[in-house]
Amino acid sequence: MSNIRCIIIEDEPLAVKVLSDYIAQVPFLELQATFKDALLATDWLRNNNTDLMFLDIHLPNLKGWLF
Amino acid sequence: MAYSTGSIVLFGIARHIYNYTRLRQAEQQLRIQKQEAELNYLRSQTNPHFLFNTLNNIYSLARDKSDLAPESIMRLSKILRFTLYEANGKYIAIEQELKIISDYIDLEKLRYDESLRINFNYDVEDMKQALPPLLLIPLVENAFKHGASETRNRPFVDIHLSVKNRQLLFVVKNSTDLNEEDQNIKENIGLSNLRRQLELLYTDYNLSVLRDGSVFTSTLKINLASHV
Repeated sequence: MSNIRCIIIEDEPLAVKVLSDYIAQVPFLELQATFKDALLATDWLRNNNTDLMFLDIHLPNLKGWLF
Repeated sequence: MAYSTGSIVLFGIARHIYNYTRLRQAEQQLRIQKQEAELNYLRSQTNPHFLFNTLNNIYSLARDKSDLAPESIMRLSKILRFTLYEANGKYIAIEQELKIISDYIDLEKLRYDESLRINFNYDVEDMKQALPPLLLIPLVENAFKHGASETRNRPFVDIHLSVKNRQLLFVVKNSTDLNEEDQNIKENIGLSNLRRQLELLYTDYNLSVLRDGSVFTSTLKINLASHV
């Protein structure tokens, strides 16, 4: 079975740190990129694919639940 | 006979006046107690989100054994001590409120990257000037909560306090999200809470909020001599 590719969308740097540390501890998770807001993630997703998103609900401008 | 009737009537009147004034005094006392209870209640509504967010940030710092972890715990402890013990009193020295604001700012900073710009300055003639506790911090809280954290590009918070001739001027400016659907300023709980406290404490004050494009400004003016 191949790894699950994932991205993080979270505006607080310290939370990103904790999440990426956790992801690094899970052998079948592969972190592709992190974004500090949903609009930056949208740009990236135009040309890239991912399997899983860790998406914050409270984000500047575009909220997680509207994404 | 006429004399005794007269004296009974007189006694009755005197008694009535006595009871009446006693009642008025008790009523006045009760009103003051009620207002004090309300003020304490308004002050006790510290934001539980702030506590939760800060603890999460400290957790992250502690995982990395960051030097910021111990000082952040100390700052949080100072804020809690202040709101638990000091803020129950009627007054604090203005310098205490300023210290709490700067501790609060340092803890909020943890949630942002380097792009956040903060300016905090003050010009206070008497740092021991008495001020009711937790009167200024709600506006700082709002600047972060509804402003900087909603801004994608170059978030900022500008805070300025001046006290001259017992005239207090507190101006908080912050960036906000331009694309927010409604341009109308909705007064949140923090702001209406502050308004109620001002109403109970002063007769001469002004609290105004203004939005100009992506800049939000709240201005608080108090004539400290107008304390009730």
